[in-house]
Amino acid sequence: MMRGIPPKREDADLPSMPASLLHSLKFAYGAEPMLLVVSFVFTIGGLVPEALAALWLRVLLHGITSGNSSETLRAAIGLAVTGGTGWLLRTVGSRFTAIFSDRIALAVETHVARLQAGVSTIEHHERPDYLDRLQILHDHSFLLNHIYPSLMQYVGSAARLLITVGLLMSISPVLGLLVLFAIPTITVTTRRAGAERHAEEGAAPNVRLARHFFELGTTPGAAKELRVSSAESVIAGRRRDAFAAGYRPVAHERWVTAWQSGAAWLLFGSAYIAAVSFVAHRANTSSGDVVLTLAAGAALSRYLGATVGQTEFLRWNIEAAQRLLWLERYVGSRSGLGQGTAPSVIREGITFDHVSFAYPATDALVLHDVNLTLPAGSVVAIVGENGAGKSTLTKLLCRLYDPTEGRITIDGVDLATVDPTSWRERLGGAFQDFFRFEFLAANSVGVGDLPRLDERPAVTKAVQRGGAVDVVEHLPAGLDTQLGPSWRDGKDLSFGQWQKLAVARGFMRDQPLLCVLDEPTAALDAETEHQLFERFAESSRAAADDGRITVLVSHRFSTVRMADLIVVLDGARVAEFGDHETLMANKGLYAELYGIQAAGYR
Amino acid sequence: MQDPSHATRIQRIKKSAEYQFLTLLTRVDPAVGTLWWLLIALRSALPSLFAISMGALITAVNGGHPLGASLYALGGLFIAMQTLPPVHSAVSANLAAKTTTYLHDLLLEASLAPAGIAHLERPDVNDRLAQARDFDLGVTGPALTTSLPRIADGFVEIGGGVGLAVVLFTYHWWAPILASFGWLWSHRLLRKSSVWKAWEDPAVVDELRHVNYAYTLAVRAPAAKEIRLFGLADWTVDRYFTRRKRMVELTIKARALKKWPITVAVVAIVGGNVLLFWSLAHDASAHRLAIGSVTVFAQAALGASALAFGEVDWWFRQGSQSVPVVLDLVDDLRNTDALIAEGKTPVGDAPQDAIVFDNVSFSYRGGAPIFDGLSLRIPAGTSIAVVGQNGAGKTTLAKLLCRLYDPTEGAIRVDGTDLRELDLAQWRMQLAAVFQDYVRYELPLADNVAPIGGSAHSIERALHDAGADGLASVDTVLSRAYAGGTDLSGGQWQRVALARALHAVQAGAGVVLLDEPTAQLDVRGEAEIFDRILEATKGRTTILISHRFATVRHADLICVLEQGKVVELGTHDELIDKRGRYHTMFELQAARFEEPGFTGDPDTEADAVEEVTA
Repeated sequence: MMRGIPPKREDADLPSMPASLLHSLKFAYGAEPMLLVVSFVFTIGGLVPEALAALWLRVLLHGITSGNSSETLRAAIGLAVTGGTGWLLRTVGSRFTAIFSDRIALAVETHVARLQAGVSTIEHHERPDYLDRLQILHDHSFLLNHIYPSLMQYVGSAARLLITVGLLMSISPVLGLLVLFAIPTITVTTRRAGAERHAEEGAAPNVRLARHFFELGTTPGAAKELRVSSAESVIAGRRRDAFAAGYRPVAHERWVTAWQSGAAWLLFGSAYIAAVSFVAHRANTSSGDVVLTLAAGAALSRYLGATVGQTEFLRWNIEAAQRLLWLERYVGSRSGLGQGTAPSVIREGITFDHVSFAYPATDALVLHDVNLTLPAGSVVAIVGENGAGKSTLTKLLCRLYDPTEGRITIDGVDLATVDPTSWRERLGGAFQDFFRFEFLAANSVGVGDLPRLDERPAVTKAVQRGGAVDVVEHLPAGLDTQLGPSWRDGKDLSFGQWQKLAVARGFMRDQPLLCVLDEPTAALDAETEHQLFERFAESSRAAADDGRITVLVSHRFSTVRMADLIVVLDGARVAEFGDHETLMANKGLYAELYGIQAAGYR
Repeated sequence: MQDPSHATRIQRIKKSAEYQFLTLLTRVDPAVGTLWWLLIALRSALPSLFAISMGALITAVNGGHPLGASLYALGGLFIAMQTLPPVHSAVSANLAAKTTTYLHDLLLEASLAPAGIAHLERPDVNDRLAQARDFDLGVTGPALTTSLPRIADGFVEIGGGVGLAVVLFTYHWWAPILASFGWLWSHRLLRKSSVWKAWEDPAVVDELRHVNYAYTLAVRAPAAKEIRLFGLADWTVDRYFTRRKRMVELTIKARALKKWPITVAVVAIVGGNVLLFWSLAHDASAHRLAIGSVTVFAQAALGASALAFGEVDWWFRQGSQSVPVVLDLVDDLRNTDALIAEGKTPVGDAPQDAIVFDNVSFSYRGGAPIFDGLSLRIPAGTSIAVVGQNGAGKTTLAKLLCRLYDPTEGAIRVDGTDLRELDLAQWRMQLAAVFQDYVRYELPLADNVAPIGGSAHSIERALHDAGADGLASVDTVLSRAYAGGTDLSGGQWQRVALARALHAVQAGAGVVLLDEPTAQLDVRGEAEIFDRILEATKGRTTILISHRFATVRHADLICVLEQGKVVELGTHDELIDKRGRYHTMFELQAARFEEPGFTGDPDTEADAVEEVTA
């Protein structure tokens, strides 16, 4: 029961092609100036000599028909040397180009990675239209690097083309008209790249779906359930279906453009034959002229084909460059989100001032007119039913998103004016959808405080705080064990063990101003949870002098009740607010939920 | 008798990536594959035919003969030379797409075929799987849709060059040798410095994985939050950069041009061509060769340079390299220590009596033992809760029961029959499971509930039973990465996963495995869901793994796992009275709810519970 997913069109708001090309050139010049220039010169130098072969051919025939043997010999040597020089220049040039390509690929990919990882918000990871674009940047990162060799080839081919046109016009200026007949071929080819790319972007959701099935079927995590639910029997077929749904429109587009270019070339071919016929039928024509027309005309089409082919490839490359420039501008628009430095201590608290939030490109408010203050030095618990906006609230606190309306202030300073990096340096914590960093165990924890990544005592302390001592003890090489079963000597951990390490990571920083714990213990067992929460309370109390605020999202009321302040969210709004005793006395939503859970233990 | 070295050479060719790649094309799609080859042959013949008709035309012009026939021939050939390439390029791109999906299919089916999952957890397999999985992503090289058209063009250039060499043969037997020797020799000389052979070195493969891992970390969504929270952006990009840079420099060094071969090649090319053209000029001057023939041969000699130019080597290698990786891996996946699923005993409605773990020992792939002589009897039709600390082997117990692995020692018996003797497909139809890392299909809700199909009614019912009605319409794709799609919260996803299991129960599954099925649910959801599950799975054998004692206590039996053995087994009341491990763990959680000043009105609470269960 495969349901086809309709392809989605995106509205093009990409930067212009010339701007993108120029931008990419500047980038390359900045990264590898010498190599860029040298490979440019060699590539163009290597393409030109070949164009002169037609000229030598005419000299050869002229020498023969006029019986001038020294002219004939000169032409023979000229032909041979031209070929050899062209080859040498091209060979050496292609090496320079290869080195340049490799280095520039590294520079470009690093640049793309840095751009994406560097955006302080995570919107680009959650919006489908952005995902489509980014997918093309990843999947065709190759195109991004090949913009330079492709541009060089293009310029070289164009030079060769000009020489050839010049040769033809030296016979008769009328022959220059041949170029006019070549225009449709260029138009078609130019259209072609865009049309195919457009079809590919339309097919991207299906491609992504096919990839999803492929990854489901080839990764260990999903392997269990697929087998138990007998779904392994349908996965392959569904991948094929999704692929086919994506393939059909793209393949169709390819055929359409192929026939169009066929027709355009037919036109040019006819013009070429007319030109040859014109020269051959001319009064007192020479076989040298005819052979030059034939050779140069044929070369013209070949060079034109190559130039146009390069145009096509170059266009793909430039389209990738457009996406890169788009990404840069996007990143640019996300930077400078506040220059202020994070405060060193919180004296009063963090205040939500009429904060509303909807995810970008959606309408539904996830948080609606939230007003509350998290007092300095307090432990604040956030409770509420699934979908009430708890995780979103923590994302806003970490500035992974900015509020749609209203503002969040720290001691009266708008969080939007604080540099996100500076703010995050004072954060700690763990999320329910934590990431499994497959490094050495020590690093998997240590990345929680990068400057102290390799400080063993700091890591050990975090492991203790996170209650992950038993996890580390069970590892064959302790903290030096590689995590992740797919790595050499890598050890797999259970979900709960990964979670403990994630919590330890969240406790790496010694002096966080805000510690966000978004359901970090859902998979932990009773004893660990118990110990962990004792430590939460203890460390929060000990840190009271810097005003540290701990925000805890949990479904476990046994934990929640120890908080100084409990925020009850209901349907995107704050329903209740206060400490455990107050809320119990209120007999509202909190008391009800607490009662349900407590009943389980009585 | 066949020369042995000849035989090994053929074998070597057959094993080469290039050979495997080329033979694959016609296997993928015989029609399109054959068309691809035909177009290569046709396009290859055109340059020499063109040179010949050019000679005919010059002869006609020079002799003052009518031009008609030779002009038409020239025109026809020329037009063919122009119109075939775009058609060929479309054929190539489509064939490439078909080849990619064919390889994906092979890999996917090979990875899905084994009944167990051990093959996916072997590091050596995983290294290669990672490499093979990404071959079309343009990370390690161009995607096949980009490279195949270029490979086709490269072949045509070479084929054209060969055709022209044949034309030269009609001049003198040594002419094609003079014309093409230098060009061909240049390949051989340069080939050595254009390949980096270390790609297959395990250290390099490992390094490559690190490179890709760091890149993925930086650009993909899963790590996005923590990358930002901990400020890891520059760090992970630098990790990528330094390692990748080292590899790039190694590649560049390996491909450096040697001065000597270059000199030899230039001398051979220029020397050979000077001799050939000189000989042509000489013969023409001496009237031993007509002007038309000179034109043909000179064109042919010039065209032979196609034998050297072109980047086909590079494209061809890039396009081919993934093929043996995938094909070998597919072979290995098929032959990996898959557990043998040859049991034929029909399952029927088992278990009717009990599922028994009989002295079971188990360890993963030579690791430390997880179970050491574990014995446990699960009576049919009852519910049993499995508790224990993290890493005690609770999930492994579930995996063994699903026969994703076989015990190292001992046996699991269903109504007395060894699990290994049961028909595995039938046994799995008996199972319904929710694992902690349940699958989140990027598909419509309906498909998430019934991945292998089900009626609209049964899907609605399963959603209702899991308390998941009203989450989204059944046609909504559960991922925001698709148009009209939506994302669910953790708790909502968990209900969907539960609905999937309940759907399987409706379809007749008699054994239900729930591994932390409520970890992400909220309070009301958790309290509510258990009653629903118990109701929906009444009469089924239910195995529940949970940390939440409020839920665990509802099970008929509770089993405490510790150090690979069952240390306690009994009902909630029995185990509480026993004052052992279970008692300690339960009290720890319960104590958090006990407070001297708690004045909760028992009536209100009872109401609340009733309201939820209603």
